[in-house]
Amino acid sequence: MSHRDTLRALTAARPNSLDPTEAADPALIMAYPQEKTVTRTARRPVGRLVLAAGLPAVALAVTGAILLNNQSGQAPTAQPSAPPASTAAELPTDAGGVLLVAAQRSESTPATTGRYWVIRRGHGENSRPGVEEEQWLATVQGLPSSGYFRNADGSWTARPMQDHSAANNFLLAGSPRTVAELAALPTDPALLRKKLLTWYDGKDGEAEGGDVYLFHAGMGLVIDLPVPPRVRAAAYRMLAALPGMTSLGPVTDQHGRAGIAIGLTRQGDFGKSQARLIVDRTTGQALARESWVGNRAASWTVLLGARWADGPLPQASTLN
Amino acid sequence: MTPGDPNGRFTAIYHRHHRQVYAYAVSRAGRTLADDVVADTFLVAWRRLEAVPEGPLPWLLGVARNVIRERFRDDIRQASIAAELRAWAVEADADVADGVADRATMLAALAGLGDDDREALTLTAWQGLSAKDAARVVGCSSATFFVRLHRARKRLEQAMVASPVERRRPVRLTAQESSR
Repeated sequence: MSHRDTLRALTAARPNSLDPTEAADPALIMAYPQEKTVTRTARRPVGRLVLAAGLPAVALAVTGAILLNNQSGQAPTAQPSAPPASTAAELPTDAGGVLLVAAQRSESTPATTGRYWVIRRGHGENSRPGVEEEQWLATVQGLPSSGYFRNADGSWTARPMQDHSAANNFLLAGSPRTVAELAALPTDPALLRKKLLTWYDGKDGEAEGGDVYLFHAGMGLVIDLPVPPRVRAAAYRMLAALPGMTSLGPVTDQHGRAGIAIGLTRQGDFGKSQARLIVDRTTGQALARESWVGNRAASWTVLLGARWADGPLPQASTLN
Repeated sequence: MTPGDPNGRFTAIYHRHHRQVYAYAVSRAGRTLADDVVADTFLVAWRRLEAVPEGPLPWLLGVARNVIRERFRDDIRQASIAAELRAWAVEADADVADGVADRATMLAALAGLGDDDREALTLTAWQGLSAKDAARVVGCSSATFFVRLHRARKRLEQAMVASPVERRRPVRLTAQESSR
């Protein structure tokens, strides 16, 4: 074997574990001050802690979330099909059934919109304490966006997201999409799947498989992104139809809220790794996403609220 | 994208190179530490964006290299990379579908090399860096890197011959080799 053959064979032997399992998002990093503009006091180590805890967990999407008991969720006007009377015992526990219930509940939510998509989330990783963050993400070009981080004493600190704009605030499986693009997504699961796959570059040698791509895109749509309820419902249905989705049964998320976990397992190098979506069994709302490696949650994000607002950006002191 | 658009520039750099930085972090520190390494590396890149050169990959990998060295105690890194290397061998051995019979042998041989040899080889074969760029990552001259790569390659070839991997099916590697 020549030397060149050796290197070529080594290239061919490249392990799959060198590829990240999730498309990450740079927005949290850009929430931190840059060195040229920063004062000494602003360059505290807390920034690194927050980043380390938050970044892998955020992974897919900077932005947005499902409607968690916000105003629109409490307005079931003219939605006789929404059956709040169901008891938990009647609800499905299989992965497809849980997702289809979630789809139905999403559909019964009226569509709203606003100049800002406001999302509050908790992030954690490994054994580090979690951090809580709220983002005000502009949906209209020209408006500023801002992140807010909760301090240990419960107060909030604003971290303006420099030059973040409506054009790059919302990432769908790693690529920025405008709110208009998201709103125009198909409401039929098969068409949604087809549309998403047009954005998937399967020829990129490092890309994951199409189903994994669809899983991550779908997770973003049901959890984070500001999409109309009917698009979210289609995303739930698309997820339900993906191969390999399994129900993991009743769980509690990292904030102690009860839900049903649905997982997609990949055979990794240290055993199995699993991406989990936790859905409230009675409301069908997404509660959390978790990434499990072996028998522990390597990273997690809980959704604490998401809503539309018209701004302006609030002062950190006004958040609670 | 204008020079006055740091977010645009950073986002482009991030999306273009994030996977490569992750791959380097895994190959150098193991998967358990890789996310932290990537996060810290890009935080440095963001904070010092004006210092990031065009064609930033060697610069980024150099930062990642320092992050790994400074942030993690050596025994933690060693444990993590040891687990990673074992996992490569297991994975390659289990992967009978792709028909690449010498993968397991190759990865086992690579696992047996020292950190420096493995780094020189993977920067070249997996990151696709030229000797000049790889030299920038590890902080030596191109000529020195060439020598390092040459020696590492020889040791890899020796290890592949010297330590046949126990496997569940016949290996065609030797036959292929002798036919050349």
